[in-house]
Amino acid sequence: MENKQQNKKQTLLFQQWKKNKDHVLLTNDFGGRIELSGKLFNELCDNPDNIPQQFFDNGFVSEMLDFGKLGLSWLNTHCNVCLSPTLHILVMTARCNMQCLYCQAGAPGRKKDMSLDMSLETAKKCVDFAFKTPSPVLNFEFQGGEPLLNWNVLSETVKYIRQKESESDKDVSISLISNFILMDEEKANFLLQNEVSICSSLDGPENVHKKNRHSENDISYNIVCKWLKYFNQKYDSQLGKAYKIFRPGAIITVTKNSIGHAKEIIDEYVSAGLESLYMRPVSQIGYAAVNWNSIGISPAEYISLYKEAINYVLTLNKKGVSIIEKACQIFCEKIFNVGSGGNYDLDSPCGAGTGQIAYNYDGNIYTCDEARMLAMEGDDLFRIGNVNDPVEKVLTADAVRACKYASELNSQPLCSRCAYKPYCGICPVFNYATQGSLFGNMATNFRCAVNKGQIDFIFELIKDKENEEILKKWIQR
Amino acid sequence: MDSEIEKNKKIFFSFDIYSEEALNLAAYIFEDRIKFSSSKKDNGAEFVFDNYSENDIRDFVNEALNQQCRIDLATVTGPLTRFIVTKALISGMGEGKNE
Ligand code: SF4
Ligand code: SF4
Repeated sequence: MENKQQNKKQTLLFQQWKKNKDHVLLTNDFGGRIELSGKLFNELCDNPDNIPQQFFDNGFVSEMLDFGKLGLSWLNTHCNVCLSPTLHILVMTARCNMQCLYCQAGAPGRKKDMSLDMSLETAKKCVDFAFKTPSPVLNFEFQGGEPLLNWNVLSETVKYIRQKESESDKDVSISLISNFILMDEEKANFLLQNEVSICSSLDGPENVHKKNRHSENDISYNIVCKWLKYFNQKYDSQLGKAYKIFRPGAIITVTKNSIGHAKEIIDEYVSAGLESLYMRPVSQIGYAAVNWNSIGISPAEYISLYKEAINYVLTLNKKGVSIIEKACQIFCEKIFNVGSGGNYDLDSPCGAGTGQIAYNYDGNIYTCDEARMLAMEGDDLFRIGNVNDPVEKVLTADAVRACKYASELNSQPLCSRCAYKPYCGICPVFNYATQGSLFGNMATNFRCAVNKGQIDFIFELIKDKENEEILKKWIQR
Repeated sequence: MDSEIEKNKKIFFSFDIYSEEALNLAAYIFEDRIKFSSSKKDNGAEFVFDNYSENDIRDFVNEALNQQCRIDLATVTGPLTRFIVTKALISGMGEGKNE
């Protein structure tokens, strides 16, 4: 909306706004944010005579824009427009020794199919390819299936990465996502000595974890807890070591089985010695879509569980327990710090092919891991090339360009005027898999409903000063 | 919950509101989901849906509207989107600042 006051030539730029009860939230693409009463909003719309100073300071008055400052803020919030791929996901194998309800990798027909393992030759080509991309920062992430099933190739690839790193001026980090079933002391030592950070999946207390994540003799829960504690102890006792040890992490996939267990999930993380948790709802794509009746969760159910979880985390924080939730941390980083939050899925455009790329076990390259998962279901739409292709060809492939256009929020009817646009991102792979087109339709989009619910809740929370202070501390970590 | 399956519902989309492009895009997205045929009539297009549920029809009409809004919006924000996407692609190739 534009309110023109002709004689003073001052135009209020209300790019995006949202009414929350009796308040109105105004935001702009430079990270500017003002919350004002509905009454004041209406007065300003009708007669913008006395524009408060904060409108000038935050880029809401068109004749008083400090383009240098606002341009920098815009760049901070849109890190993907100035990146080349930093995250390189290597799928060591498409096999798994578990059979989770939301993942196809453990399907019985493929458990012993060694042709689904990445060869060392392909793994080295993936690493060479990553080193040829222009980014000075590379993060290699080993994934699967279960990557430890292909341990020899994995360990040799780690050595190869470290050797290439020593010959280049790139800043390299390595991480592993594993279910820990095959973890042992020797593997753990190798990973620690090579500064590989470790992440696993812990879906909550034993009864919830067991329902989602099936393993032979139901050993998964105990094993995950055991190794998270082990890596935590190593992290705590690293003083004097020649190498850096990272605190282990874990992610939760929230399904129908999680409903009613929000507090227990948090307690589980605290008792495992973890200081952060990352909650995400199960996505109705790939194998999870097949099992949707038994694990599916609606946006409203997810948000209700999420609110209970975050309220509980804040209560624990107030009692001195150190724990944060990452999705909330990312949104808070965007809201308070006008930063990017460091999450490629919540950027506009998203990081497909420019922030991250995923290498499948066979050397085919995809815009991101979700795209690679879709390929495992037989749909290669987001394939951008192969490790044998020239880097330039892969990084400008049609699918990269299509993802950029589809996830640029100014081209989306509802997003372009949404007050949460500066904090939000959409996923072309998810849109395509659930709504039939890369652009999707935000009016009925699951992820839009979840993001909106989470951001609504954060704005509700920060009306309380104590909550706001705690959440601001989360982003300093 | 899916509503009951019915047969032969006709819906008329006026070209005063919906462009042919928007209707084609919506039809393309729904071609695997609902059976329908379409023909031009007066100043618009008539879609005849076969074996449909009310939910399907609602989603189809919603999608046609979504596509039309996207096309209209592109006339306003298209240049900005193209600028941002081009910058992102150029940076992806290494021409720009990495952080
Ligand atoms: S996805 Fe939804 S919440 Fe996010 S910017 Fe778009 S309309 Fe707003
Ligand atoms: S397509 Fe989706 S999963 Fe892939 S980078 Fe973009 S937002 Fe993330």
